[in-house]
Amino acid sequence: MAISGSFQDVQFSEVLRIVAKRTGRLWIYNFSSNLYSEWFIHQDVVYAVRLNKKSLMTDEEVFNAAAKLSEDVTCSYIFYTLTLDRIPSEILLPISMIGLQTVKTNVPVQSEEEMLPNPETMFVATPKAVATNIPDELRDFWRQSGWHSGEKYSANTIADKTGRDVRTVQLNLSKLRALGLIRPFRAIAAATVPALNGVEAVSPKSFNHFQTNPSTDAASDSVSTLRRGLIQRMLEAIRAK
Amino acid sequence: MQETLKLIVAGPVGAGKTTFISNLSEVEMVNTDVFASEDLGKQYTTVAMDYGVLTLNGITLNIYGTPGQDRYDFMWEILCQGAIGLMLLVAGDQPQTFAQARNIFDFITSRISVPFVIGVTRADLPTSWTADEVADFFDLRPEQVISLNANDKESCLNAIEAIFQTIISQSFV
Repeated sequence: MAISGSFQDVQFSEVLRIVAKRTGRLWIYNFSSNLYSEWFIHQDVVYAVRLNKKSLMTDEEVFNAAAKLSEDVTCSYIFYTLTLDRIPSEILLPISMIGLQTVKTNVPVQSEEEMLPNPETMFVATPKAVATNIPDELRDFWRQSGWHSGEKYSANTIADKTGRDVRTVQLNLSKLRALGLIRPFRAIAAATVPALNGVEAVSPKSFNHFQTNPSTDAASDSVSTLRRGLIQRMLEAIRAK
Repeated sequence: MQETLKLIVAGPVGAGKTTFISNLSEVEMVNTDVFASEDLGKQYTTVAMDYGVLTLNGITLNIYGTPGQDRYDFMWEILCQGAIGLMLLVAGDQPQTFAQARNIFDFITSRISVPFVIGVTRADLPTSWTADEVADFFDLRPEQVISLNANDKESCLNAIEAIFQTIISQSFV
C-alpha cells in the first residue's frame, strides 16, 4: 500500500490520520529547500522520525516538526507500508499526543487516483486471503470475481466477467491489495516458486516467452542452454572491461 | 547465424531510460523523443521507444527503452516479448514517480516472465532514496535493486552485469 500527495491538498494532520493504523514510512519532502523527514509509524504510534537521513529526532524535536508541518502547504509526502522489523524504534510517541488537530478534508488523497492498477495488470490471491474474512463491502466483488479458484485476474477480465465498470473494479482491486488479500501476479516467481496451498494455480510454461521453439522440452532446453551461453559470454566481456 | 539478445529498459518519465541507452549504445541511438505537450519536467519525452545496440564478445544486445507515460502502455508488452531481462529505472530523487514505476513494474512482471533488476538513478543527489529504501517500497529483496549513474558508461555496464547475473542465477534463459 502506498499513498502520495501534497499538503496543499491534504494537511499533515489528515495524512497522519489516514496512515496512523498502518505500519510504514511516511516520507515528507520539500523540493525547494531539499529538506525531508521520515516518519516511521506503527499502530497509532510514531516510532521514530529522522531528518535528512541524519540522526533520529527527540520527542521535543518531533513536537516542533509536527507543529511546523501542520501549517505547511509546500511539502509533498509518500507513505508506504513496511514490516515492523524495518522500522527503527526510538521515541514510541502516540500520535494522539503530538498535539495536532485533525482536520478532516473532503479532498481525496491524490494517490487514490494515481495508484489504481493498470487494467491489464494480473493479480492473484495471497495466502492471507484464504484465512481472512473478506470485508462486507467487498464480499460480493470477491465472490463474483472468483478469487477462491486460485486463478489470476486483471481489472479488465473481472469487468468482463462481472459486468462491472472497469474503474470500479480497479478501485476494488486497490482496496483488496491494501488489505493484503491480493497482490500482483509475478510471472517469473510462479515459474520458480511452488504454488502456495493451491492459491497460485498457474502453469509456468504458459508464461514463458523466452522459448523461441517451445514445441518440445528438448528444444526448449537447447534454446535455454544457447541463451545462457550467450549471456555468460557477454558477462565475461563486461568483467574484462 | 547472428547472435542477438534483447533487453528492456522501462520506468516512469524522467527516470533516465534514454540517457542509459544512449550511454551504452555503440551506434547512434534511435529514439522517438518529441517535444512534450504537457509539463513533464523536461522538454522532450519518448513516445514509442528508444533503441540502442551493445556488442559484447561478438554478441549483439538490442536494448529497447519503453515510453514512460501510461498512455503508451500498449508498447510495454509489445517491446517485452522475447526479452531476456527487464531493467526498471526509477529516479531516486523523484519519489512522486514511484507509484507510476510500480504500476509499470506490476503490469510487465504480471504478464511476462522476465527476470528484472530495478536501477535507482540520480542516487548521488542528497535527497535521493537509497537502493534499500526503494527495495522496501517495491517490496523486493535488497539485491534486486541497484544504484547507478545513467550518465556514466561504466555504471551502466555494471547495471547490465547485474541483470545478467540475475538472469543466470534464476536459470531463466
